[in-house]
Amino acid sequence: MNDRPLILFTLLVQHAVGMFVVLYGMILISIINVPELILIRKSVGWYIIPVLMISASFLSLFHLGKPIKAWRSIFNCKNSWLSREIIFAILFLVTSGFYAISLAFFSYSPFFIILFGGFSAFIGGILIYCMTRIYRIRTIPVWNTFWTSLTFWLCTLVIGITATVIIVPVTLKINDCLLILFKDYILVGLLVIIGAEFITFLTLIWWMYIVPGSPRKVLKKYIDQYHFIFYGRVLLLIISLILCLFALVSDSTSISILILLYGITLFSEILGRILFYEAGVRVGV
Amino acid sequence: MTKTESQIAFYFDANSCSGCKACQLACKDKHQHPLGFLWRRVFEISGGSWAQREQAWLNDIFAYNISLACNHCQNAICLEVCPTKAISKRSDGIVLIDTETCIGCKYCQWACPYGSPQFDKKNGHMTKCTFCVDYLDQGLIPSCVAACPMRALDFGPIEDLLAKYSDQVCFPLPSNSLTKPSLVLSPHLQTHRANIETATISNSEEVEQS
Repeated sequence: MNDRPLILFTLLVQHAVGMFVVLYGMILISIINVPELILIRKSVGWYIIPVLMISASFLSLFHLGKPIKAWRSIFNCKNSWLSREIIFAILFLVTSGFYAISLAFFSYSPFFIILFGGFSAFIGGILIYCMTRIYRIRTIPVWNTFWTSLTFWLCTLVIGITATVIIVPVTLKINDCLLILFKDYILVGLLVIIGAEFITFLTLIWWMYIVPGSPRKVLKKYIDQYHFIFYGRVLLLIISLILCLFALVSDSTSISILILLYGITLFSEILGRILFYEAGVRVGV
Repeated sequence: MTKTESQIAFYFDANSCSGCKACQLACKDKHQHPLGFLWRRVFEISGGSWAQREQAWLNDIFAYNISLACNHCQNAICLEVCPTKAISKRSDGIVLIDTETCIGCKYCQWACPYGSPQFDKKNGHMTKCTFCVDYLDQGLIPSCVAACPMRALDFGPIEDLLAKYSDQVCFPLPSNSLTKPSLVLSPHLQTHRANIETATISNSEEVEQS
């Protein structure tokens, strides 16, 4: 199965939603008690989000046999989670794009910023939820678990945070503000999320080991055919955790460490997603 | 579950099947499929080994065949997941793909536990067994059923088939509760020895999906 377009699509959408949620969180904080962060409104990150969504949609076409008829994919929203995902992807693209334009060119009240931003973040959340439900197919035991939902949400948060904390300082020159005020919160948050990803991964492997049938078949496939990716994922998760700890205890955290952290977590998530698609072994023949 | 006026089904008797693959060929011939494209596939299941007990060698080897096409499930998961509504169920229970509407997202292929929908790379859409619907509409019988020299295949309304034959699930088929397949199966006598740990599909390269 050619999964590359799907790996790119899901990761780009998760980037977009994760970044939106984190940027929106910063806007909320700026309105409530950190006025320095009001500059976030001018961040280029807001424009990157719609670009990511458009790129993701374009790349997903390569998965289809008839890309020209892709518009038909919204027709079965009553039953199909794939249809719902496409509809919410379009909605998120529209709302996040409108929000970016509004923040840049119009002087709206904090009420608008909170309410419309919250609405867009909510649409983004539903989009990720639909994405997780696509894979909860009852004939594919490894996908049809709580772990699928959990790993997608954790991945969205981890790449959202790591991408935002490098885009915002680089483009807005509020390096000090971000790193001094939020360094500990960001790094502790990342430690918790990446730690949860690590524990989830190990628990899933253990579950595959104890459950006969297709889960055990998937584990055998990981070890026999995908051992580099499998052990690579474990290693990169450990390196990410060590890097977070190092940044947390060191006195000065430079942007280069954050870029390195983003690179490692992104690579780790790509490996995780390859393993995820390889786990799509259904029951039966 | 999709409600239909009636439900047509296949019957397969694993004890009668000799694995000649005439059904596979007849289907391929009727629908003029290219190389590597199989709507009906014959799975060769085998397992067991030889063991020495004192001076004697004993074996518990078994082998049987399962001929499988689309089971036109009563709770068809392909129909459920298709984002374009390209998959529909007729009033007689036959599940069909509208190739004009299908965009080739392959979601049905992921979901089907029988590996029935297959991707037509040339035309960019999914295809699968149609139960030879054109033949049925003319009062003829499906090509696979007609071709079977052992009379291991049969078809008809599922109620009639269930009244006539016993129905069980055997390796490598999944539980009927997943999709409620319209397949009545008389398993091979050796089926009780086959499970995911003891048996394998010997011709997996041949029957692997396109």
